[in-house]
Amino acid sequence: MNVSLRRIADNAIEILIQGLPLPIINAIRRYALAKVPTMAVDEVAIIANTSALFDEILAHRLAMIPLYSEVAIRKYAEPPPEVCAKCTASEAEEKPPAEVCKKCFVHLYLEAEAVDREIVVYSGDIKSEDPDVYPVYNNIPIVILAPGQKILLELRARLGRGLEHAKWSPATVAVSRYVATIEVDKKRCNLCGKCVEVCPRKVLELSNTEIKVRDIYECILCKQCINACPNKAIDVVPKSDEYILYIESSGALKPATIVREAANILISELEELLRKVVEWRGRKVTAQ
Amino acid sequence: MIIPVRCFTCGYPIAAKWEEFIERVKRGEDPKKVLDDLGIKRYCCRRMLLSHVDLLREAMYYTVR
Repeated sequence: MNVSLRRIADNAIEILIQGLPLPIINAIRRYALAKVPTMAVDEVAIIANTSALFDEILAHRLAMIPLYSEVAIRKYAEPPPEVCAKCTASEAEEKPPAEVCKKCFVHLYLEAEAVDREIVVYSGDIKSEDPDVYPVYNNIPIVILAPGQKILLELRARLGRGLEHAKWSPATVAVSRYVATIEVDKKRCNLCGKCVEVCPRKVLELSNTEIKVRDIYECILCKQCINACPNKAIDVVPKSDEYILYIESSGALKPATIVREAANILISELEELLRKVVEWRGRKVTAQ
Repeated sequence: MIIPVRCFTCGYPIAAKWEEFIERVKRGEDPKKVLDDLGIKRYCCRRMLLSHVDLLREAMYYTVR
């Protein structure tokens, strides 16, 4: 297996993976969206809200704000997000004991009042009890207050997974894509350059004697060049053992952390499966 | 009403870039150039900023006490 980093930025990572089956890459991709936990506001106590936005809208906006989770995914790992989910569930369900639920939450506060002129309340105005959990972006407008309006809110954030609600999903984009091989039949090619012209990613280049591929990894297999070629001289086929994984982060976790955590969760689940299978070794099972 | 915190389609936190976007556009810059500068690549996120009208600034004066 050969893995190389194609691009890395503050909020995105692109990895080239050779020799790993697509289903495994797809599992990592899906786990990045649905299973890697992050922090997000889950409960909001409205003490005062005379703003023009409804309480529900305010609570929803606060939930969407990405909270820094690099430290929190270890710090608040116990109890697991599945247990904490029950702590916020409706009254009818059986709740875990209060001392367990206490460990789930980080309290944050938001207080703002417009006295004599309009003010915009930003995510940066949220005060957190835990210095390791805070809004990643300080300039997200939450509400605009007209003179005389005020809000006073207590927020409770906890770890959760994208599986439960998309606000906990650490990745905004997680995609895998194919790598192409471009074959040009030199006998048929008349160097008309139509494929070069039509390529949206500018992958091809025309030299005096042949059509050259500049950067094969830029090709998105759109097959425009095949359609444009009058002599059917060019063909684009996906490689069967090389893929590109692209993950873009909401800001809650670093993109590299998302990949690592996704792989870790996948591995630990497979290990559990393996343990179960080993336990069954030698056991006789009667067919139903 | 007010700029949505995230892009409806992909979940990218576009609200963090709203103020810079609208200020630069108001100053007369080409919205396309501002969006490119801000690194907003996908058209789902671009329409969020392009099509938004900040109505809350007007509506907030009509609340009932």
